[in-house]
Amino acid sequence: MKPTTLHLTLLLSISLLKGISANEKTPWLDEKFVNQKTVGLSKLESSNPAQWRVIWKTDPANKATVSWTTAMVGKNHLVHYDLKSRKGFPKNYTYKKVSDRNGRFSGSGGEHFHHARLAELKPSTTYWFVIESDGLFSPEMHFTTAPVNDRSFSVLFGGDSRSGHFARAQVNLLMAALSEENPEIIAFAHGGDYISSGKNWGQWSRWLSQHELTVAASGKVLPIIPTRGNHDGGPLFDEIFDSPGGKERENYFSTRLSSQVALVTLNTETKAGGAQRTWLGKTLQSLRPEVRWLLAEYHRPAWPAVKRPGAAQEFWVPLFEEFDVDLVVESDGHVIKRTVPIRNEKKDSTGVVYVGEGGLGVSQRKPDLSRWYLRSPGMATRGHHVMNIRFTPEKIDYKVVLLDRSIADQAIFRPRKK
Amino acid sequence: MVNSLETHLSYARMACGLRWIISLQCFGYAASLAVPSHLNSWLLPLQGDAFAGSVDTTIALILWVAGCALPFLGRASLPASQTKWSCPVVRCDAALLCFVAGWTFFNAVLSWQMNIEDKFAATDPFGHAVRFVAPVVLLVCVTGTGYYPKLEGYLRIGIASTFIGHGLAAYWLKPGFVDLIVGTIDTFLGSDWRLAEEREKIALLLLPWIGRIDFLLACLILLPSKYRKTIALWMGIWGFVTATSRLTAFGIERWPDLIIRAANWGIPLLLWWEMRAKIKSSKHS
Repeated sequence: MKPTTLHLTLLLSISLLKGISANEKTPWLDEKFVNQKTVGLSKLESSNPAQWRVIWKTDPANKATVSWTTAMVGKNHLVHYDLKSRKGFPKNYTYKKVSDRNGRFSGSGGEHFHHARLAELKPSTTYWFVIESDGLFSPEMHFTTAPVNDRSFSVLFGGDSRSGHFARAQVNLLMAALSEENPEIIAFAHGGDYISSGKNWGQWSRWLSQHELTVAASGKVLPIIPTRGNHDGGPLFDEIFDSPGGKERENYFSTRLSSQVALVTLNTETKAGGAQRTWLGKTLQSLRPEVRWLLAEYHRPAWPAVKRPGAAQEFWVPLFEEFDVDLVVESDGHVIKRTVPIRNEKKDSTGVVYVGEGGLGVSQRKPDLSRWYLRSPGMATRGHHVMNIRFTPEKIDYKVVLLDRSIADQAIFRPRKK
Repeated sequence: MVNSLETHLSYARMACGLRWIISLQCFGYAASLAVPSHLNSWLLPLQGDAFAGSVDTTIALILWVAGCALPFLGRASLPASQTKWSCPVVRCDAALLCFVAGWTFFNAVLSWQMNIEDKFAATDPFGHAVRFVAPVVLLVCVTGTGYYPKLEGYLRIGIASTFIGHGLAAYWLKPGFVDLIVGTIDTFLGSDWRLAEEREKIALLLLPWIGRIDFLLACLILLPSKYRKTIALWMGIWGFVTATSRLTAFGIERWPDLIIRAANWGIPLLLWWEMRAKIKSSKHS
């Protein structure tokens, strides 16, 4: 049959429609859209609350820290929050919490941080909030606390947003879209290297403002679980994320994401082999019998796709293997990778799988595919990405989502036999 | 006449020793470029991975060539008093030495600049000093223009800077140094995560003293003293022990870390050897 004019018109219409829908699904691929979004970010001026973030540390079912920045010191800083949307009218919110920690960012031109530590929250509950600083308010936003039961949920993982500001904005917009479409996504674990120079307030300020792009159109905020990277040295990390892990600059802690899921965040930028290793051993020993899914995250990889192994390989890998950690997330290499299951430095079906390596905006490298642990069924490639990890009672569903929403890698992990 | 011959021999011994040490160092640097360098990290966002990677590959290639060629170029171009700049071998020798000195210096500065927030990285230009001073001294040896005691003095300044850099990092309790001590204890006494915290405490107790001793040695090698030979030997052995700790803590695959530091332990041992040879010859004469 010869193509008629009608056929051609139909084909043209379909391809046009496809183009439009693709563009609607990935508007961040359009430079104008990204620039428009970036220009529309909250202004950091006077006491106007800006650079909002919600931080999760150890107990996200019951606690969360709402943090923000003001351009000047201000006097009254608080969060109004409730179990229902109050459309941003501060007086209508049932609860309020005055900021617990305020201070001037080190090396800043007078910008101040504010941390309101919300406690006694209900698990698996959506909290709506507005931030107030000296009578100026943020828009209404919301986040959902972690569950204490065994329900399914997802967490986004990624690292290395330190350079490539445009790509960083794109990945942030992708995360916002994924979070909006999927109510199961409850948090975002950043694997470190937010910026290039940890003592540079200007770089952090830009990162913090761009982090606003991860807030969905509905106001849904993804609480961040922060990891310190090698470019995040200095006091600003603790000032921005309210000293996760308690001790200044130590920054290792475990996060109970549900009754059956725990994430252990480690710090490769401090001593790995001593107190942190003992803490890791004790933590994994206590968590392993309690949870089905036990994960670890840190910055410098033990099984790198580009660089050479960090101290984690010597000090932490034996513990991951001893306590059968289910999945380990690494950053730093600027690639996408998934190793084969590893035990005793060999491929072993009972071993531990290492994923990640960072693609939240930073320029990507070419992975070294000759490394034995990256060979099939492992993989490595490059591309700006975010990892979407879904936890269910039956499996961990791991997907690497690229900017165009295509899936660069996916895998399923089953619970270990006891 | 005897003095002139002695100076000539000293020159020859020093040049020969420096060549082998720098050659080893080149192999270490070249092997370490199998993974991205600090320069690569700096170039990556500016020029992309392909360009940054090709720069690393080119530098590694030159360093491999330098490592292989330097000992033999030395044979061809010695004695220094007869050095002819028109000779291509001498030019090639000088060019390679300039490159090695430049790269080791640039690498130390970039290590600091790429981790500007890290106070330990700020000690790198001092800690790496002997690695870039050594090729410069050899270059002067090759040209035959240097006054021998002065050249020895430059080497001593290089060693002292390296010990001050490392001493500062130890005194400030560099986390990497704590891990080297803990990892080494693990290797010899057995790894046990339950004891790791205690082992860290031992390391934290030792490091300030290691730092103080490093400062003391740095001062002593610079001051005129009849014990200078012993101090040089001590620095050589300590330099070798600390360089080897990379292997004892993290395994044999870290061998480039040992030979990249060839100058840290090789130069003090060379000075000790030279001082010993001088004393022997003065006794004979």
